[in-house]
Amino acid sequence: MPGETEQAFLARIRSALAGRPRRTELPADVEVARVVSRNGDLVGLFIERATQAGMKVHRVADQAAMVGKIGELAGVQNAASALVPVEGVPSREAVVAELQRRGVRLLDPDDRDAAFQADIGVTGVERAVAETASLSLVSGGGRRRLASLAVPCHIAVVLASQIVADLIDWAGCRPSEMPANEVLVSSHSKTADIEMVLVPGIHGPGTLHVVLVG
Amino acid sequence: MSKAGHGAGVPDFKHQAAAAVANRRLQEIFDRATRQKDDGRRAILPELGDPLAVRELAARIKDHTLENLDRYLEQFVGQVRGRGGQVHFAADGDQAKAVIVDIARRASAKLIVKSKSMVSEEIELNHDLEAAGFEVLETDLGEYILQLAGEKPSHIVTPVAHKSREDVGRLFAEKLGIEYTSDPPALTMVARRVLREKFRTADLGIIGANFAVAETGTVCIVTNEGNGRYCSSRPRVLICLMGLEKLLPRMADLPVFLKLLGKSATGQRITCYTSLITGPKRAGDFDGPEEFHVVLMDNRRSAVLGSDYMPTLRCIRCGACLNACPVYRKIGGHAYEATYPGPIGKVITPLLNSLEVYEHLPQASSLCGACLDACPVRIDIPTHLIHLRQELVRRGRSPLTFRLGFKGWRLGMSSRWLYRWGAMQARWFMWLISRNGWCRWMPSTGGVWTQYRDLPVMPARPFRVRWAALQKELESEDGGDAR
Ligand code: SF4
Repeated sequence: MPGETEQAFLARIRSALAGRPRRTELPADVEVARVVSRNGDLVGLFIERATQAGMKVHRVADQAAMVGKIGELAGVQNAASALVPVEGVPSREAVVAELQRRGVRLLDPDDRDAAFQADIGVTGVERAVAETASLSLVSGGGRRRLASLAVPCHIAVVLASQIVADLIDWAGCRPSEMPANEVLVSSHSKTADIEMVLVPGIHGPGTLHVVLVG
Repeated sequence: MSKAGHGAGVPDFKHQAAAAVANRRLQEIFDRATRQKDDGRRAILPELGDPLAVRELAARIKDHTLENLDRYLEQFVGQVRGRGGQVHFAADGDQAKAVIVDIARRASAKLIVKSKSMVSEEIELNHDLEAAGFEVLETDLGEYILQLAGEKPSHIVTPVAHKSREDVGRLFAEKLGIEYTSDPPALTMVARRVLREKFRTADLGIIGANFAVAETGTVCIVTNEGNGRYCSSRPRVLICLMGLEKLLPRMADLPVFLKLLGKSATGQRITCYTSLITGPKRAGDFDGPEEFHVVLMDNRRSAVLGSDYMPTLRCIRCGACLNACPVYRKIGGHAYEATYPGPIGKVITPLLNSLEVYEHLPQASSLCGACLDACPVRIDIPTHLIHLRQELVRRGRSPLTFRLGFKGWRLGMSSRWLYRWGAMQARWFMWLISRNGWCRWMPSTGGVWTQYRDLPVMPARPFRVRWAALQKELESEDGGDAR
């Protein structure tokens, strides 16, 4: 195997640090960086900041209304096909039925290329962060990493109860085991590489709808 | 970051800089690109409440990590392995490249998609991968444009900051055979179409790391475009190449840096996509890489670790110091002839390469301190530059006249009479060589200075005399008030 051994690598670092005073106690005042307090109007702040970030937020009262809203958005987007992963979408059966009723073709989630062909991808989220209007999506099981990425339009379902105040809370309230992949989606895909002109949808979705329940 | 990779054998900083300053289109594009980001940063940082406190916290977390880096590296390596990942160690860029080529070969990879990574620019990874027969594609739009053009990044966050829309239009027409257009959205969509197919079919992904969390063995990358997500989600094999300084102790520390990075880099509250990758896909997962490799690279970072320059390893490569720097804004990124341009580049390029080869870099600063003001992790770049200059003098890398001049200066500053006498001499001398009150030329080493700057002639009545007079005047006024 090319490269060097772990021992040789670490030995160099140890000798570089040898003889230097070490402060071993970790800075514990991470709360200094808190921007949003836990007891504010988190839903209101989330909506405000998500809108600033270019997300289209639709607030509905309950899951039944959420299902109707997703169907309506599929119509607005002129979607002919959709990818709805088998896991992680609240009221999935109802969402699928609603899309089918509207004549949207449901792609097979087990087709590896489905996300590249779908007009819309519908997902739930693990959590949302009011501070940065970030949607936390995790991998695993019946979820599909590309359902929120390779589609031109991503529709994310967020339950009001899933919103935490600050990124500090997002980092603090996680299960001890990290998923293989977690992504914080804080806007649609964009680039400003050519002369700082902002262009949406360079690789990922150019449109991001959030259906907020509750 | 070999010198050879940047063209000329000998740095030709002055000519490059002069050419950049004379290029009006470049000035216009570069000025806009840097100012927009700098203004954005200033506008959004106050959202942090007490931004200075947050920046100092970030600096303390980084310092703590670096001081205990051996322990955190061990923890990180253990965690990555515990999640089924493989860890490789590379003393330098050549070893890192050999490791990556080896992984690609074993995986029988053909098509490699890469997310933007400054470390891979540092070691010129693509060159070796292509030489080994792999098709490699940069997938960040800016990096993709550079790859087509065969050029180097001019900015560490927005690598094509130097290119106009017309440049990109001509390049795409020539290399991709499309009809010429200079419309940024149209050009962007062309790149989208090309790269989308590559994402779909690639079998190996290469990413860098913005951060790595020791506690969980997690690698964190941020992108606005989403290309980092593709590279880490779709291909069968995933390689993360990272410098050893990227570690953070805990997940709890990550928010502090995520809050600072997007704001400092582009004035965004947070970057669009933040990916956390912890090992390969798990049993029962439908998608994700089957193999996950981390390549930990030293490449002279360990030499910086124990030194006075250790705080430079805090750098999170946000580019804020570049955007804030009046020199960088004028001369652009390419004049530096270094992978890392701008203020931080002036410090770390000599440290990670050779001070002798890059001796022009520590000098190319007015020490105004805008970089320190901008830096989210409070790296005192001006002081590091002064130390590098001292090092150059100690190594005898400065002209004799320069050293004699400063010896004379020291002597002059040691006595008020010598100082007055010296100032008088200097005034006479300047008056002799000046025209209309300005010195535009000086003999010997002074000429190097006046090549790019003018100096006003010292006034006939020195400050010392005027100050004394002013004080007297003020005193008599005060006396008047009292009555
Ligand atoms: S030195 Fe500071 S400002 Fe410059 S790139 Fe690094 S972190 Fe950003």
